[in-house]
Amino acid sequence: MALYFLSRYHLTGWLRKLKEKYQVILPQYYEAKLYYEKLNGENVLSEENFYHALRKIRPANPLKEFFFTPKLKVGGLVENKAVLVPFDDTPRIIIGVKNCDLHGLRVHEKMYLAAEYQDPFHKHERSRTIIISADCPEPEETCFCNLLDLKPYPEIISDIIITPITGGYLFESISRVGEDLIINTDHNFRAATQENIAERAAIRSYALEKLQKINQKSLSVELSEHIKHKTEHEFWQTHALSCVECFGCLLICPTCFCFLLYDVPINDKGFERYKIWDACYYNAYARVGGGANPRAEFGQRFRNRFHCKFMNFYWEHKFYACSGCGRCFAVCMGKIDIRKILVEV
Amino acid sequence: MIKNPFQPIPAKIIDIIEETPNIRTFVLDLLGADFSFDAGQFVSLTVPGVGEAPFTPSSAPYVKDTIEMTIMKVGKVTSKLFELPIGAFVGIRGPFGKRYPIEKFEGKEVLILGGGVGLAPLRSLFLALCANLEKYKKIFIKYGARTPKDIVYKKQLSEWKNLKGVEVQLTVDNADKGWRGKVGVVTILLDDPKLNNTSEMIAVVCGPPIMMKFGTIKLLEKGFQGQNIYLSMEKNMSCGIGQCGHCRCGQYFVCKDGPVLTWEQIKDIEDPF
Ligand SMILES: Cc1cc2nc3c(=O)[nH]c(=O)nc-3n(C[C@H](O)[C@H](O)[C@H](O)COP(=O)(O)OP(=O)(O)OC[C@H]3O[C@@H](n4cnc5c(N)ncnc54)[C@H](O)[C@@H]3O)c2cc1C
Ligand code: SF4
Ligand code: SF4
Ligand code: FES
Repeated sequence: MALYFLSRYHLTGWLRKLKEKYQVILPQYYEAKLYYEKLNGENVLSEENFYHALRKIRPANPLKEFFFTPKLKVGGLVENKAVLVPFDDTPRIIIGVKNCDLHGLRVHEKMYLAAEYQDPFHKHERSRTIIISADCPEPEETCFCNLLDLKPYPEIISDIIITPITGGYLFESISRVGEDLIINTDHNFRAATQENIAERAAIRSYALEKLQKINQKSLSVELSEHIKHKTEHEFWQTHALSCVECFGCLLICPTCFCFLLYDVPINDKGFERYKIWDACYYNAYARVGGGANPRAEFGQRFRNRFHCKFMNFYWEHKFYACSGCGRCFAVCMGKIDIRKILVEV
Repeated sequence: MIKNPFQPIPAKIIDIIEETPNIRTFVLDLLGADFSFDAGQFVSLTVPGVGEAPFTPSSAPYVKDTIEMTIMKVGKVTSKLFELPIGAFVGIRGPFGKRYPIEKFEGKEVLILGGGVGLAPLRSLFLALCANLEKYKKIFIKYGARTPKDIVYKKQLSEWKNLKGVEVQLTVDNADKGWRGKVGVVTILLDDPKLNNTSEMIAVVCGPPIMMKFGTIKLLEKGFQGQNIYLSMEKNMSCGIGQCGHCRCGQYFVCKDGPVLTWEQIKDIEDPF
């Protein structure tokens, strides 16, 4: 919609104003690592921190946990009455979301909101959230969004996009909500100059070049076909060898959408139902009644993840259920780099 | 406010019919809830405090107010269900999935091939077809159980035999002293000279995975067309609405795109069963 500039000096004032009306979530440093966190009285709001946090790549925790907590109550029956789950109506703003996490949200949109049945909890969390996304001026070794045709700057879903530039921040309002948030909360925004805009363009082309250097081998345009035809059990088994089966990769993945409905008894009166994060690497994931298991061996389950993300999801939606965020191998104790497998397949 | 698809409604067990030593039919009163299903769709049944499992109603879709489910005791949820008395409450969600496209069966010969408790969903289909029996050229019911004791719906099967245009044939894997019928796996019933127009026939199959596999192979050998072979796919399920990922089978979510898929739809999937 429009481009604005806010100086570094005015940034914290603006954030404070947002905090009066909204719950604010933004990336915060903890011992050199970045986490999406709610802004409360305790975590410091220094412009210095914000500037550096915004220039970093995506935080360690996946954005999905703000839309679908690892254990979410979704109903139940107690004394034959439906358990009502109250919705939190506090409006909130998430700042500093990177394109890879936006892509994760897009995958979840397809899974939870686009079909015949909609998840009312996910829908509610989306509706109370304003998203202020940010560029990635310095992609790191773990980043490979470019291999999946994604850019190191926001392309979708955002209300506002921020880019840290010399002396301040470039704001681009994308939605009406985003535009209102800029013009109504602070008088210190001014129209962006041609120089500001040119600087952002330069930041973006630098980031793209850097990504190309990090990831020199591109993926086949027929990746899904390669995955389909890679039927040799050996291949998957070998790549899965160093896996310690902690399944951290799937839980931390911003696109992984699997869950399990899990009931907790309430005395003898009934039960509450929870939607909990699940992962296709678990042995019992596909097991059917009586114990038969179509993916009894770990190699089969390992391969299933690739089928899901790069084949089945892709065939249906024409984009991959992977955003190249690199979290899965950043956490991997067995040092399994998904890029290596995607290139070799 | 959109509906919460994870929320079950209560239902009351009003009758329990002992079909075999480990299969029972549970008759549920829906307590006036606005609930109806079509043959082929399934529901998620909650045993309070234990969990949920998917089952296909075995009763006629046009009967409102109550539904029946014929259930085999195999594990956690079903074992607990078998401990519940008449009068106990359970939860149900659904119906989910797609119905059988029975309008495509009109004017054709329909083969219903069932194994074990797999006859349950097929009974619902058969009862739906029975509402307009004259519309179908002929219905063959071919059913196999492990032993004579494991045959479900004994009484109804013998009644269905007498219906015009319906033929019923049974087999058991292991006979006992009193058994005078056929012995062998259910696929032997497909060696039937009366199945002579197979390229035009409809086959509807439900049973354990091994039977689905060899049943399909034999049907294809006999000349059935892939798009006319309807297979009930048993996959692990949780949400029932295409969101949780559990029932993935190739490009399909069996809960949403199935649970009945044709062989034509799944023939390129590695190990579909
Ligand atoms: C569409 C459909 C229709 C069906 N219709 C019928 C029918 O009409 N009649 C019938 O008898 N059967 C039917 N079935 C099969 C029925 O759903 C299973 O027999 C039933 O789910 C068994 O439940 P259980 O808890 O007793 O068995 P279990 O073997 O205890 O477990 C069932 C499921 O829970 C999972 N599980 C168990 N323990 C764990 C754990 N610790 N952690 C994570 N997961 C676990 C298993 O992987 C398995 O998928 C149908 C299945 C489908 C998919
Ligand atoms: S698979 Fe790995 S790289 Fe891809 S989105 Fe998930 S965590 Fe990120
Ligand atoms: S993967 Fe791409 S979008 Fe994600 S943090 Fe790295 S550079 Fe940014
Ligand atoms: S049961 Fe959840 S996707 Fe099918």
